[in-house]
Amino acid sequence: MVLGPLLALPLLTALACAAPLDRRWTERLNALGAFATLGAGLAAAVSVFVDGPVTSPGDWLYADALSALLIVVIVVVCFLAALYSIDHLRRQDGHGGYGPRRYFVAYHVFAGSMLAAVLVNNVGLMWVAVEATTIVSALLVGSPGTRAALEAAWKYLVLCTVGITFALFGVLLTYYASVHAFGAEASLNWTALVAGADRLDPAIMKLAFAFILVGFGTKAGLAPLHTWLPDAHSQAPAPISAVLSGVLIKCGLYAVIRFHLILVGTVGPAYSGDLLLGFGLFSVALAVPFILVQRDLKRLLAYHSVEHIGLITVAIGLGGPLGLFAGMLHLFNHAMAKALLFFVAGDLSQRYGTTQMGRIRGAVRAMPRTGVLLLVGTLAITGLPPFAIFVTEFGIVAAAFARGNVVVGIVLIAALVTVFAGAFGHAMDMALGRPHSRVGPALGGRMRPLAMAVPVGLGILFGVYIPAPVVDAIQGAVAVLSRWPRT
Amino acid sequence: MLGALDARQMFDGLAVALLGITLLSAATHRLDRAIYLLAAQGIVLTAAAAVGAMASLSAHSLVAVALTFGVKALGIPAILLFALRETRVRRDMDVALPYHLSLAIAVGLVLLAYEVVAPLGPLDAYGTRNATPVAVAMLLIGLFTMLVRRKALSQVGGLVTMENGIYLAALTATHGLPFAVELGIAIDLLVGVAVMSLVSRQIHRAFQTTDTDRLRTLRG
Repeated sequence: MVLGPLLALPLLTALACAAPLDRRWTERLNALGAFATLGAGLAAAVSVFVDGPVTSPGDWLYADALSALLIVVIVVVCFLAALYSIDHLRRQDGHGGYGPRRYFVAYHVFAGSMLAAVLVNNVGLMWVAVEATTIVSALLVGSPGTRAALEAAWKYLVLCTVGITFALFGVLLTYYASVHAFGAEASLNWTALVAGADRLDPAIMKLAFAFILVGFGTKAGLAPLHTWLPDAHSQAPAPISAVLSGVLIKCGLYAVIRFHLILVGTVGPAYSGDLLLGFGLFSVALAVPFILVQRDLKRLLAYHSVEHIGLITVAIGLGGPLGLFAGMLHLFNHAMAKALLFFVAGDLSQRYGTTQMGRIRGAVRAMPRTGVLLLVGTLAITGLPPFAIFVTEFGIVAAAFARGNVVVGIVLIAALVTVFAGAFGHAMDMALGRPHSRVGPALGGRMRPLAMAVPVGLGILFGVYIPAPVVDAIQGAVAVLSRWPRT
Repeated sequence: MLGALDARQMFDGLAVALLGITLLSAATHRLDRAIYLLAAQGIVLTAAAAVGAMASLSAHSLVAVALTFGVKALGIPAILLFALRETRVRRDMDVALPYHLSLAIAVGLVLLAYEVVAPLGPLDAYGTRNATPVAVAMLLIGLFTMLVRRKALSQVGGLVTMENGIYLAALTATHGLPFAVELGIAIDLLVGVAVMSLVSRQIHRAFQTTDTDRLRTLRG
């Protein structure tokens, strides 16, 4: 009942933004629509957290606590980035690229496609929605119209579409298994597949999961399938990068998790769990050297995304109440920290006219708020107390040791410490010192501080105190993931 | 109603036709011919969908026939031809590999596909010999095309070939996917190809070439 309107709102907003109106009105409609989507999303999520899973008539849409967590991440980050986009786009005027109308239409269709990906029950339609996110967001990645942006958009389109074609083969194999197990009752509805998972053919489902992991793993940015991600994240407008990194890659991971849960019912937790653990750990390890040697701020943030999606994947592969709780909360914490940092990067790039870290100096003097937030955001993303990511990273590492995976725990600690040293060095170089003379005029705009205040606030709050309803909500998502607990 | 035996023979024949068309497109360097060959793939797939519809006699599969024809035989080739006319790229000459070699590799991929699928026994509902291996071969050849071709539109052709392979497998293995899913996939494919040809036109304007080999400013 609450799910249909939630899907419709972003599309209505897109339609409204398409109207030939004055720029101011397009911006207002964008903000209003994003706010309405935020309200509807939070309302839907709360109703799921409190009253349990919601199904729409005909079983088309389905939301449990896991979907609800993703809904919260999507609507919060998309709302903040919609506000930030207003100021960002104004400053970009006269540099070519998309005007506000085209930009906001694509933006809200993009938001709608992500909501669809986590709301549809049918895993075939989930594939359709995830592929739609690629198609729409590629337009936004290329929206600045520069050569580099078009190149990034093309690579992103080709790599993710090829990747996800493999996932389609995985969906087909799943349907094949479903037809053989259930005959005329066969369906691709996740609820049906997971309920009858033990009747699916194990060999076919193992093969299907391999294809699914390659396909949706590409979208999630899991190494070694992450190569589109640094290009797209670095060339897209900063608010779009915030959504790609904070939200979109998690929609890819969400699809992997749904199939993982089917597989756990079919062949037990070890097969897909170990694959996730391996890919996750590899992503964390691979991101480290790239973070250390990086020269471009937004590419640096992109490799942080590879690292953190890897951490969440490790947590899911490990299983167990502690690891899953930390992993699910980390999914939210990372979205907040990354949104903040991409907004900071957007401010810096528009003021300094570059994202090359070597050419950004004295940010604290030139633009005090952004400069300080750069340091705050870096401390947050590298997991220093009192920030929220410290708590969840600690939880994931502790879970690795608690479950006897000493090697995993040691690799994680080594990676996290190295990343901290590297990233903090980069941030200090940019924040301190004297700004050079070619710094552009002050940015202005009332939306920027607003968009940054929320992630800073939540990032600190969840580090020192997690309110009971939030704990319950995360526990709900953990319960979905622990349908068949790993022993 | 079509007998199971007739359906099997027809599927076998159509699969072989698809294989021939796919090999031809692996061997051609002319972009317009490659697009016509994609349209031919679409027509053969429409015929395959029609055989499936006659064998199962369901309303959904009849609509699927029309959908296949509209998207794969008409829509996608039309979009690509339009993009081709604008960029005026006739040939994809500088393929990374000489074309005898790419044809040889494509044939090798076909043999590989048969080799991999044969031990699994008949996977599809009709017990055909060719449908599943041809589907796998199309998946591999499409991927191979995307790797070695440099022109943006050739790469889109490879992608469509991959999707067509999966569609063939779906037709024979499970009488297609549920209709809502097939509809969604068709829309995605159509819009996806449109967006890709849009971006390739923008690249053409910005770089004065659609040679994706020139796209290497982004590194590390």
